[in-house]
Amino acid sequence: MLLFLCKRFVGLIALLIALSTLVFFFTRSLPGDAAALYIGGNAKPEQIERARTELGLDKPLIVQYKRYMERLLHADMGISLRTHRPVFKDLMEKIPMSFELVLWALFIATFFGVSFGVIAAYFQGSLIDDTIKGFTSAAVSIPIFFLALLLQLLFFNYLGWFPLQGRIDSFLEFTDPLQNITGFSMVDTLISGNFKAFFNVSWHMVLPVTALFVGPLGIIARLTRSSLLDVMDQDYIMAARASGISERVLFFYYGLRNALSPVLTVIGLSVALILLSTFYVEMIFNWPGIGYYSLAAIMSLDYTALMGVTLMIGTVYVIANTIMDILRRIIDPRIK
Amino acid sequence: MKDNPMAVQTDSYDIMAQKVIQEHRKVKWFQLRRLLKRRAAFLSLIILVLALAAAVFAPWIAPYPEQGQGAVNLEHRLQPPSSNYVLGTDVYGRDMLSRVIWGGRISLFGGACIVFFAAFIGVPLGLWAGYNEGISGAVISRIVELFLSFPSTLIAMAISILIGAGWFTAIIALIIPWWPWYTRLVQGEVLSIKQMLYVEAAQMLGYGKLYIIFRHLLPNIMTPVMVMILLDLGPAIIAIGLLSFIGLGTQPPMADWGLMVWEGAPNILSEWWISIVPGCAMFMVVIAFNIFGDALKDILDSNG
Amino acid sequence: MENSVINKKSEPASSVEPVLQVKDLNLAFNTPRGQAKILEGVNFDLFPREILALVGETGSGKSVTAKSILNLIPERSRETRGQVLFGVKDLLTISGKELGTIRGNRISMVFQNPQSSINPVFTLGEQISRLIRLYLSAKINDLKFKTQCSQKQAVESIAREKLNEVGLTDIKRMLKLYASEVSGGMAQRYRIALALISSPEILIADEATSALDVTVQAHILKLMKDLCKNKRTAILFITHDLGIAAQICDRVAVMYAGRIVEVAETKKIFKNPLHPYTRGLLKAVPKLGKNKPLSFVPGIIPDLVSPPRGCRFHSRCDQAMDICHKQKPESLKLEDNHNVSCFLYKE
Repeated sequence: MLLFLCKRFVGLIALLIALSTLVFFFTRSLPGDAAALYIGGNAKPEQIERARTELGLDKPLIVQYKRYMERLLHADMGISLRTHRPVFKDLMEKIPMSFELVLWALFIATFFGVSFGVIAAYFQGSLIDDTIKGFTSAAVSIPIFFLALLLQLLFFNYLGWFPLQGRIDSFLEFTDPLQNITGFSMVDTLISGNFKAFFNVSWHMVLPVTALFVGPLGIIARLTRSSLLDVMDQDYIMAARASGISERVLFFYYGLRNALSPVLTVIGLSVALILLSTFYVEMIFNWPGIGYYSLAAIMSLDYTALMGVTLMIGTVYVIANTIMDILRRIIDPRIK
Repeated sequence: MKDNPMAVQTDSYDIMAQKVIQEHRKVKWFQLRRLLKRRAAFLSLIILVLALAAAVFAPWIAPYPEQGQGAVNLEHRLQPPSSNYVLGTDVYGRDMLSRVIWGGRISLFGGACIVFFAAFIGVPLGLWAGYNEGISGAVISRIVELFLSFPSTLIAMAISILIGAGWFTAIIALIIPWWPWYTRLVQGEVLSIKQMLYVEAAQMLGYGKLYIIFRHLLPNIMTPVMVMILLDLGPAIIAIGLLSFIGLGTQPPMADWGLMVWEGAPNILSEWWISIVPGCAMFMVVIAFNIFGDALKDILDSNG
Repeated sequence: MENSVINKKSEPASSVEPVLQVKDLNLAFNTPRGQAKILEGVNFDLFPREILALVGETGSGKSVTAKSILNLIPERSRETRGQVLFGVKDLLTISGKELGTIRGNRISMVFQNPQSSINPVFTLGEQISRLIRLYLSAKINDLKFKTQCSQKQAVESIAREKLNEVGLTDIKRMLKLYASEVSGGMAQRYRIALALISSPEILIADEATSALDVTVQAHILKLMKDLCKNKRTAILFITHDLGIAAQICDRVAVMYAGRIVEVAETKKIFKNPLHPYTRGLLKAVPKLGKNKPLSFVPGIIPDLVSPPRGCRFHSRCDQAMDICHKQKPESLKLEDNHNVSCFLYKE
């Protein structure tokens, strides 16, 4: 087990180095002159030259690479060409806002995904199974941006149950403003006892979180179902059945633990899916998080910000996968 | 009990069983017939055939073919569905029905291109990497692993920023992170088929690598690859939409379904049809691909 | 006088009630090509304390018969007729709950591949403890009371005792291992220990030694035989190996293409095989010293979706008559409890 952990850790470091190297060469081969973009508008040639030296772009590639890696170790990702602030600072400010959505979506997708999958498998072939199958097929087929727009249309425009966009009603920003403690608005409002804002914030989060969790929920539920049905056909289940273990124990205790390992893998993949979905959901719901920031960076070719975003998403993804691998190893001793 | 001579001879049956497996992995006519007996699968097939027909015969079917391709019609801007414009018109007054039919051309053709080229690159590499355990195989495996270690959509976005926005570049940007999935699937299949007796027998009889790969391995991996292609078409159509929606894919005045949803997004609360019509088209086609692919996979899995 | 002795010895049926009666068991799978009639009228009795071998080629339906007894074949796309009588209960029709009280408790089963029939994600200790808690709660309480130990310790000491009985050593270490970490022989001993925890009346061994090395196999066979004699357990021993059947079984039933073609005491069937298929099987056994080419039963098991009309063996039978093509042979009861389904013996 210890050896396994060490191996995974080394693998993680290697992947992170590979990621940062790829990102470096990616940003250096982007079209457009970074120095010109930094100054913006119609800058004079000498201004651009000064910016170039300032950004270190006049040095040879290898020197730039070395400097880039050194600075990464100090959490320095450079200055955003668009906001003219350190990218790392920007990211740190935006991350909690997005992760509030991401974590909720991930939790709901995992919890209900696994539950639906188990229920469908347990009642295989029944009406319940067919209903869940239909719902999950739809869930994995609906494009995220279309789903987000549909939610707005239905729940804001026609039903009026939920707000259209934003994090909090604008009048509350004056009467009961958000205090920035952890950056997670639900936590902050609770800590500061600002219940009015807490309910308002939660209410604003419903639609974006829904848009985020539907797809992963479908994927997780479908995989859980098929994995469980696969396991229930195995020899060891039949042997356990022959030794008199009741169907329920067989299913929920013996079968489920065996079936969970591929499900954990797909939960890891869902992290990436949800993170990338925030690009769309935050744009449509006007949510000032990482997704919104990334999209603005893509549109304005803000290469330092793009670099930072790519690094961050890649890192989160790699770490999530490593955690899932370790969990898989814990529940299933066969994994080497 | 292989070495006890009193055992009833079973080895010949093993070889027969292998033959049966080999045979059963091809799609059989009766399996397709059973597929069509499933209501959902049949309905999906109808939707797919209709969508495909609409895309192929767009110039003849679309009521306003030139608007479908992007010609503006400013005097009829933002009209709700009516007898003249069955699905309404968009911000530039273009007929939504024609737009959706032409958009389907771009989306469907794009999705098909991505998946087929991904399979075209991925499958041979997977065959090679699975069959050769030497350096070349290891190198392929490492590359595949590296690609699969990062989110595919993120890679595609990065590449399409790098090589510029556009329909064609978006396709390329999506193929690049897509092929490793095929390589991995095929590699896994090959590793298990390689253990089978008929492959071993062929090796002992001295057949060449390429002969074994094409004669014995390729036919046996075709079914899983076909199923994966079918199941990937939906996600591929969505993937192009995702890139187009953030301006990295198809460029106006041409539009695929994803870009059309984006064009309608600012007006979603008043002129909802501009987004909803292409969104629904996308959703229907993708779900049809998924249900049909699932049903096919189900039937192939249920008997060998 | 002599006559009566023979009668007494060779007719356990009249004096003892069978523990298990399989009556006219039919089973068919619905396949895309049509219905495959896997079992067609299987009949046999299992008597207390005897070891009955069910012998046949791969695909003859012996494993399906074994699994049908405990109703282990998944219900989808299968059709079953007939009865499996355990006492007065028909195992094919009783409720799942009632079946649960019989499976593993009064009828146990050991499967062919020991490693794949142990759950890979739980340790061997976890799995045996669960069964001990399920079946031996009285013994656990007894032990707790006597030695003043905790529940966990009591379960573990019973587990040790049970695993010791099947000849396993270094049990403390073994309880922490997973299925993938033990050898086939160890795994099968462990499975047998699990099967015998509840001291069942019947043990069904489905090719229980086929996947093992010959030396390990001999150990396991002896172990099973001894344990069952001590615990008064009847064994239904399913195998494709006539040699094993000869070594440990009291009676042998020969199965071919979903039917039992011949049943007799082991000695009788080896001395005087009646059915042409049994004869063919016995001839295919090589004998030391005789330099004759090995004979075999020509042909293969028929396709069960469209089985041959009449006797299912007629196409491979060298003594086939006209009637064999047309009619299915009845099971004939000859002297000494020798049953055979063949028209050759119909007067």
